[in-house]
Amino acid sequence: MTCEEMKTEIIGLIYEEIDEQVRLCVESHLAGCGACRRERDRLEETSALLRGSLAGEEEIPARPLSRVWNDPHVVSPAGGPRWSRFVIAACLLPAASLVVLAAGNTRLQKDASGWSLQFSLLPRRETARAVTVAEVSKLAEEHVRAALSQRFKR
Amino acid sequence: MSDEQLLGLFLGGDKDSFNVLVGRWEGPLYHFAYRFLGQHEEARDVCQETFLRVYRRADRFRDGAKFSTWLYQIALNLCRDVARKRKRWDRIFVSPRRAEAGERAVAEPADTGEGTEEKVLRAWQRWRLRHALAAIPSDQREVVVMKTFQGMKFREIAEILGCPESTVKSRMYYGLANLREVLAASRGTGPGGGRKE
Repeated sequence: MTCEEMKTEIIGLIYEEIDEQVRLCVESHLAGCGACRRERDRLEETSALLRGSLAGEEEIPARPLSRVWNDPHVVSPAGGPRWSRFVIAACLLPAASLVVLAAGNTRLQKDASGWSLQFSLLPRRETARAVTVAEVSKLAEEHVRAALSQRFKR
Repeated sequence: MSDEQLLGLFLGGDKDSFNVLVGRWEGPLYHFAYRFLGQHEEARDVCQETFLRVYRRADRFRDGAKFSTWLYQIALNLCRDVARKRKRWDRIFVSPRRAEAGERAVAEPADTGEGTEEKVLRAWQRWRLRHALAAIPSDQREVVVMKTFQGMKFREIAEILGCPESTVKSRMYYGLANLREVLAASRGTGPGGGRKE
């Protein structure tokens, strides 16, 4: 076994995930190779440092989502679709559609009296086109997502 | 009851089984996401989105597969997306001076009133390790995180990443070697240092 091949096998040895036969080969190589022994020691040291310093961090909550998922007032995915979602979506969709429509038809115009901002809820003739089902679905999905993420925020 | 059995019950209409799965995995999954992203808010979002995807796509779970592998695959992809977006964001909005200020804020905790010397040293050590983890290539970081903090077997990691076990061990080797270099560099002149590929 070469020193290059030892690299992955040393990792197996450190974490005790190595076949018995391979382990014997590795240990035999280590017995005669100072460079690989030093490499193993350094890797072990780094691994222990990582585990020791970050494993017990107290700032990570044990059950970060428990409040969200167990709260009966919060929309629970396990509860399936609820009327509240559809009510929110039904209210938001027309409002959002109007805003999008108006934004799309806003025009800055300059006439004799100066600059003016004009908008219409009706599509302009040159840009008028049918709103596709896909567009409406996409809009509805965005609003359902927004409503859900609001509820999931702490 | 196994995770796979619970998922089967959930697919059969038993909604409480899903809550059991969430209770069982929210902690490990959150730790997983936090180690990758280093921010509680983002980790919680990833965790939440992972369970939402499981909920929506439970019927796509393959028979014979392991639930935890599938769960971590989803979470890993989400973490990668967040990291990718954040990189773009940083490039545009974070100036070197702001980044430096942010690092100082982490290194010097706000609650200095109750901080002992030991506490400060521990915080500094954690900061160095987090910085070192963030500095190594992402494919190595993924393996180091899954092995060190999630306690997964190399075989499991290989399944999640969809690569041979020898590749996982090799990434672990270079990950630890690079971490050591970054830590050594940060001990003297500050974070940084060379990378092994």
